[in-house]
Amino acid sequence: MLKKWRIQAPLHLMLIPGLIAILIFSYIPMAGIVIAFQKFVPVKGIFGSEWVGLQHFRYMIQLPNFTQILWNTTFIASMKIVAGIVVPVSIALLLNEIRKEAYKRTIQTLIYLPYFLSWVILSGILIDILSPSRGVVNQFIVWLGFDSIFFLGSNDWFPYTLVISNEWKEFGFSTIVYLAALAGINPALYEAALVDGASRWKQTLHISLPGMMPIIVLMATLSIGNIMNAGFEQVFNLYGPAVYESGDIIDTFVYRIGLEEAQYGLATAVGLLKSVVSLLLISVSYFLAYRFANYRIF
Amino acid sequence: MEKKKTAKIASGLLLASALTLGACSNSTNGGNASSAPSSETAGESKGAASAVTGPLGKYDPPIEVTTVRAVNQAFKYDEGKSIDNNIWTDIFKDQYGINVKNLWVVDESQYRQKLNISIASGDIPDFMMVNKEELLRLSEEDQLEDLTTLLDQYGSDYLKELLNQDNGTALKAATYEGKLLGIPQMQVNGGVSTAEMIYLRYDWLKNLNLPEPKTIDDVIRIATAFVKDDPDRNGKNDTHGLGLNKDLFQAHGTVKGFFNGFNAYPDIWLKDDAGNLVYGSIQPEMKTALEKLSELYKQGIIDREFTVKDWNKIAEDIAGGRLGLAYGTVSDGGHIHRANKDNNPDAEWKVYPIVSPDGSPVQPQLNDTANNFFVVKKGAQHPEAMIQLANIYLEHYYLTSYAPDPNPFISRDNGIFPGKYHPVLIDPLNVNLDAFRLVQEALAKNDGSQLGFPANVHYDRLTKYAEGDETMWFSTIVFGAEGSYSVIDHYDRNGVGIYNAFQGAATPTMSEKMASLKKYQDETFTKIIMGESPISEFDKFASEWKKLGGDQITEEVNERK
Repeated sequence: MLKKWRIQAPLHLMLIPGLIAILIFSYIPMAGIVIAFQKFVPVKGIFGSEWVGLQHFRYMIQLPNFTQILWNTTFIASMKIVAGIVVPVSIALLLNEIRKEAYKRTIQTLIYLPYFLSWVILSGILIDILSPSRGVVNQFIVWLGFDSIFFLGSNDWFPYTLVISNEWKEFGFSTIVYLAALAGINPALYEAALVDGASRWKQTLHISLPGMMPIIVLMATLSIGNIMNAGFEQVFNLYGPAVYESGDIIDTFVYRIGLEEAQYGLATAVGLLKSVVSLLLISVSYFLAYRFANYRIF
Repeated sequence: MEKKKTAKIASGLLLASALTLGACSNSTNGGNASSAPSSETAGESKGAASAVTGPLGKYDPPIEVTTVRAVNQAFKYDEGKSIDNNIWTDIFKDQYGINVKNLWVVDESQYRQKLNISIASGDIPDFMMVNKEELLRLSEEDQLEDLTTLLDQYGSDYLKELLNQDNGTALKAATYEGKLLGIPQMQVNGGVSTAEMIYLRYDWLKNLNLPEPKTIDDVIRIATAFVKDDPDRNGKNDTHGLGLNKDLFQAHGTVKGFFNGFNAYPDIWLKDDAGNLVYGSIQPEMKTALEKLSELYKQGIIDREFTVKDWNKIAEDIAGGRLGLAYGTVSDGGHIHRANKDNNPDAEWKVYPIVSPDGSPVQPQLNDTANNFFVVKKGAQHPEAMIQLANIYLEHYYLTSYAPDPNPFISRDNGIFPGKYHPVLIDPLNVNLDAFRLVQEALAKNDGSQLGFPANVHYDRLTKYAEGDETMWFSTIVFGAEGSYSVIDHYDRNGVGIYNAFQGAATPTMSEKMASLKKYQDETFTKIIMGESPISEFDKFASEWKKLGGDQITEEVNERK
């Protein structure tokens, strides 16, 4: 017992700086949450500002279009979460089947590239290529014999355009994570399956996918915490009054309120609400993952 | 961090030494060597003795006034100089007997916060710069000196003149219950220079043999022809009519100027016949203008994709030769249309005042002329000192001729700009408009040698352009005889322009509800223009707007006016 402690002591010591950093930068600032229940004025500080109870939350909920904004946020975010798992997993499985290393690497790099572009730049490009009159995408659609589609200007299409363009930008990054998971699968399993006469499809189904499952569950559980984050940067750069109906999300709306008047209390209340919902969902999904997939992150 | 600290200590030391030096000279000047020469007592003894009766007098013995300052990264100093000790502080001390002491100096990002701490703790300097909200708060707490008679007595003629360049709008914003509580810091190139105008591709107009725009119908005829009659003669149907951006009310491609032509004034408060304030966006005139725009959209005269284009995209359309008509503001030509001229040297642009349906002159809507105000603490020993400092700024910066030497205050190549070290920066509203007029006079006489800054710069550029330097085109479209400032000049000479009739700080309901109402407004207007909603939707909007908090805001605004 003592000997074990002696071996592990330095390791525990090494944890301390990290713990202190988390304490300072993550836990102590949490005290700032009280602002959500105050009419916060920076001069008066946290202790001097007037307490208003749940006023900010009530205000948020009585906003004439709050339900619509909430719906937009969760709808866009949940589609992004689903796409964020399905697409990279499929691509990773496909890439894994490619035998030519050079070819595989090239594709990997190419799909990874958009991840590094900011939304400010991408939005400019998207507006051009999705333009109903001049954009390449619509020229192709018209060539196929369909009517052109106003992807960014029509409330029917806007949310899906957001999801697809977001996935196009992000999937290269997630694919790498799943490729790493695939690389970690013991090759002996494949050899054994080959001996048993399993086809490539059967191998994928019974070795690759189960082998990736822990990572998939982990990524899914973590991403469910993002249910209230529909992607401020992307929406802000692509939306306008014409698509407020389908594209205005909590973050963009709060941003516009913040521009009119520095309402710290309200902004914190919105952030707190988002965090609480996220925490609940993460806890539930973690519990479900443990219960049904018998998977534990910790 | 460490550096900042040393800088602070150093400036503190400088200040301290300046003070002791000042105190010493005082005692010798005043001749009362008996009193202890500490700066404190010296300050006290000055009070009664030192008085000046009019503008630009010298205090003897010198007085001390306190203030607070905001600076930013762009503040650069000559060797050994600082915000506490520079060309201005020397002038104040030597020529006018005023010692200006900065109680604190912070980066401008922290100014508001630090100022609010000072206000909350009741520890405010003799004079300082505040915004509308702080002005309201200080006036409610009765912390400010009434400047009405002081400005009259001590303000120089030029100061009074430039404070009235907007017909007293900004002064009214600083007046509470009949008392003038602050001197507005006029926005350089604010007021009449913010009026909108029409930018038109003149070579296209000539290609199609169309008349210049005099009425709304002319604008519509031109826009229609620009779409349908192939104005660029390239045989392709690739041009738009009237340029609109998705945000509707700002930058290039706004609809404000178009609305103004119909006597419609979105987003500002207007005085109705009974003298009450009403909100421009819900007035019936808006409906007529919106209906016209929706017709244009329906006919394809307005780009069907305008709802995804911000002004940057409009600028791209202009640069790419796809758009030849849009409403914009005075500086747009210098960067937006310049890109088009660079791409296509044959392109010609002209600017026109905004037009009405029957060709009568239009009142364009104007932005506020001041957001910041200089206020004086109630009970300050020398409340007029702030006004004196403003006089000094104008006298030395604008009214003194330093020729043939350069003006010592203007910005130099190394980024040092001594003018802005001054604690009471009140620039004329119409710096560039005045420069435009001076340049035109000088061009007529063919002699630019007498011009000061900034007119001389424009004169040089315009002469270079006249000599064939095409890269200087951007100056012609703004300061040339037919440039955008000629339109502003036209507005100013005719005395047109409408300011927001409510100049006060945001009312409680305004800060709570305005964002929601604005969203509702922009959404409704966009849908009406796109034909997704019928024009009757406007009436619903107007009545809903009132119900959703608009009535309450109107009430508050009328109480406050």
